[in-house]
Amino acid sequence: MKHIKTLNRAVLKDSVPHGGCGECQTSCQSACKTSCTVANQKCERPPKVSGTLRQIKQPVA
Amino acid sequence: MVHSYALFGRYIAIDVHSGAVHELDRAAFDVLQKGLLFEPLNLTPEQAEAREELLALKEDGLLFTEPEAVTVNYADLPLKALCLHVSHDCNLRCAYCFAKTGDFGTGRRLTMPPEVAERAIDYLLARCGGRRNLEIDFFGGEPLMALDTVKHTVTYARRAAPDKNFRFTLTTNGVLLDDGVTEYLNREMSNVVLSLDGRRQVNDAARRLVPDGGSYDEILPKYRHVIATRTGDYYVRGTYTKRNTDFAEDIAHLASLGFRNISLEPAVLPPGHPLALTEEDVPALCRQYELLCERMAEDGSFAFFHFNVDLAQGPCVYKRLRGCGAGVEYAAVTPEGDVYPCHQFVGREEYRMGSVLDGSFDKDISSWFSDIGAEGREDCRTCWARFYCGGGCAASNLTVNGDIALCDRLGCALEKKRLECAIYLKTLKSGIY
Repeated sequence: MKHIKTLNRAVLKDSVPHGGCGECQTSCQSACKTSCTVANQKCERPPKVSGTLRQIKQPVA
Repeated sequence: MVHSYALFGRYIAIDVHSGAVHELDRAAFDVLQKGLLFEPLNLTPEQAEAREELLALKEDGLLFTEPEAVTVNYADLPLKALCLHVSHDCNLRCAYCFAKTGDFGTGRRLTMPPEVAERAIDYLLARCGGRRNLEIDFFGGEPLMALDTVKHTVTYARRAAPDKNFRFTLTTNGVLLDDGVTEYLNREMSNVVLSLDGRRQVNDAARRLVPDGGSYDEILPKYRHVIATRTGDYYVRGTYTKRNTDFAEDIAHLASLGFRNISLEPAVLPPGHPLALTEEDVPALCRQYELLCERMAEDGSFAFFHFNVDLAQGPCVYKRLRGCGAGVEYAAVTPEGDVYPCHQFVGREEYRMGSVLDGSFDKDISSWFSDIGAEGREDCRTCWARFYCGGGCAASNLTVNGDIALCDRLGCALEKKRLECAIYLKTLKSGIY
């Protein structure tokens, strides 16, 4: 594309079918204690391979 | 929903429901901002071309994506993290302390007995279901005033459940750090949070020793020793208030001291408090985040907690919707064993959820929190940032608005600015330009 560069694709949408394993850190246990950002938490699942996110399918918590 | 914005000459679009992020040129940005995508009137040739590309993204599910139906019964999520208030006493007297100098307004300065700590671990294990990763944050007051309880808890937890992956963290003001304590923390804690507000005059105006005196010179060498000898995670974490609305200077100061992981948080104080930030401060505070962003674009030697947004491998949509987990997946335990939704609710009796001593856990109170994730608060439902902040902080909402479900608008404004800066920095590092 000439006018647009896509930085990352539909990561949220792609994560929907795979459910939430719930093994990630809670937001307030890291460094805030008085505010909230969840997008800076790490996903505990293995990183994507060949452009496919969340290879391990787990039931929704 | 699409959020598009300009920052430092770059034009960025976030497709809220898919999570896709795009950098645009001016023509594409104008098409979005002026509503020309759906009403293509008087387009320039460049805009017409850009519009075709935007429509292609929409077709590919990367722009104006419809919300996905996500169903999770948040009320039934297991408990996985505890904030253990091992000490309701403190050896500092900080001007903005939400713990009211350590005792959370109770008038009782207490240390958690080891037996209560054991019951807290039992309580977590009884409620954690199949979760393998469990978190314990030692908090206070000042947790190093109860180091024996900290050590006892670590040993007990590991013996009680060797199949679980306990992550211990500790938040300290640094006064009681010495070589032995540092060695212990570096060995046992996966993360330590070291409190320091920035420049000496800023820190010492708020963080006072008992009976009096600034704490900066006392704790700085100790923190330097911690990070010099540590391989695990750490954050140097401070608070900014009405007194230092030029807080980007404090972050720069912390970076100049050699700290590589920095967090500086706006003080959350009730309206009328002399140090409380107000709506009028928002433009100046947002400018500070921009200054920090500009600095970090040039200097990649340090990380700022709220700019650490991982666009590609961040949390799934379920995590983003349920937010911090307070009152559901996360709870705080007082020295007496009382359970609260999080550390900031301790001392508010109407939020007492139970006790680790009798195993009680009030599901009704828990449901107040499970009902107000990023989709449950009215302000959040129309906000582009909700998948990044997870619905914000219920305790801040209560402090500022008297209602856990009414968003702290000042906090929201700052969070949105931080996210715009964070995503801007990602465009610089993407390697696609």
